[in-house]
Amino acid sequence: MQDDQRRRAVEDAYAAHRDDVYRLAYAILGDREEAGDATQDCFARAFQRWDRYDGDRPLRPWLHAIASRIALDALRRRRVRRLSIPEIGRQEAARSDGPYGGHDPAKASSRRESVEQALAALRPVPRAVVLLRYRYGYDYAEIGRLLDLSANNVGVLLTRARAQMRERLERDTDAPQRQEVRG
Amino acid sequence: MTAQRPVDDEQELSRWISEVSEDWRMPPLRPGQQGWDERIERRRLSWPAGPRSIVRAVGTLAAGVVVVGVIGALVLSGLPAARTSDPGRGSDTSVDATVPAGENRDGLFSLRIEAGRARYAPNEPITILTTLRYIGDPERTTVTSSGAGLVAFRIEQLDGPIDAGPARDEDCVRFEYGRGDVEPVAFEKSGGYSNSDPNADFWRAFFQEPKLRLPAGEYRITAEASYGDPDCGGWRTLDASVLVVVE
Repeated sequence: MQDDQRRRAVEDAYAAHRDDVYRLAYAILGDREEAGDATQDCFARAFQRWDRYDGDRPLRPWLHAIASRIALDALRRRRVRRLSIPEIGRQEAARSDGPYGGHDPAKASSRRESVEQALAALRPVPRAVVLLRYRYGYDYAEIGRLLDLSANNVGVLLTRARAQMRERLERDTDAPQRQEVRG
Repeated sequence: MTAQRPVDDEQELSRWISEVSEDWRMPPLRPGQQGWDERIERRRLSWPAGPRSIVRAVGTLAAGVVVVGVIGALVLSGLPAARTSDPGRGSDTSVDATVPAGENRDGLFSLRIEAGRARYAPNEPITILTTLRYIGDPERTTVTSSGAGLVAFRIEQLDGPIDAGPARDEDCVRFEYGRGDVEPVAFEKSGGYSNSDPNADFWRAFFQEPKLRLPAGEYRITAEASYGDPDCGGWRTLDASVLVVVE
């Protein structure tokens, strides 16, 4: 494929899937600018590897595979080793304009805010697992391939993530409701 | 009547996760941020192997954190090593009266770090000498890493709070190595700090100082090589450390 054809193909892919790529990068990195950079890097790499893309298969998983690698590499090699992601996530999740929350505070319901904060409190990989499972509907094996985990590990991470989110949501809920759930 | 939390019901959870993440959208490029097409051009410029075996390009620094890289002392190897480790995991380190050194290797590289001395006075410049030697079987090999090079440094205080680096760009620049290549690696501070950090003044002064000067304490100084395959995947790290006492 000629460069200009390839460029047009990636432009189309960018138009259709940039938000999908960004969401995964954002779930892993928890930082808008870093996620934006990872997204741009993802499409640059997609351009370089376009000949390897099997056009008979869905494009989004292929892009997600590239994006997950870039974001995980970025996470691993993050400059500020002293500031871990969970700390940043917690600090910023507490603010209405932080990541995972406050993109549109006027529309945010209390439950939605609770879900956002529960999601923000997860560590990067479990958060990515939750996103891939519950937004994009990948099965465990597919998620495992994207994040370099076994399917069993994906299941364990999902179970723990849901438990952690449940605990967080219960803290944000009033006592009578909590009793109803547990009763 | 039972009130379910979103996480108790998969469909409900999917709905909430989808709603929350719906607003996670790729923002417009910020000033100075390169788009994907510009990043292709940058890589094209930096990838071809030149007359030297090692292709270097300095990548852009990600915004959002303060990152300072300061080139410190660069001295080619020449000091005798106190000890050399066996190949394998982990790094051999030593603190003795002469020259602390650490060395480690994997299938492709041997990484060696030396300090000028084992003991320094507070704020006395510490000399760090590092070399990366290609020891792979293929006559030539290509790896990818940060545009600033494969090796970055970490400085950990073993009896205190200092812990800086390593910090890297992640632009997946290709580097070619050939049999016999020995790359001296300049010591470089890297890392970041937030202005709200209670030790921000210390970090500011630390990164502004080109030489490695440390307050009293025991420190592990680690050279970490991080590299991937030519397609920028399969990342591996190799590290080697020395211990230095400042008293």
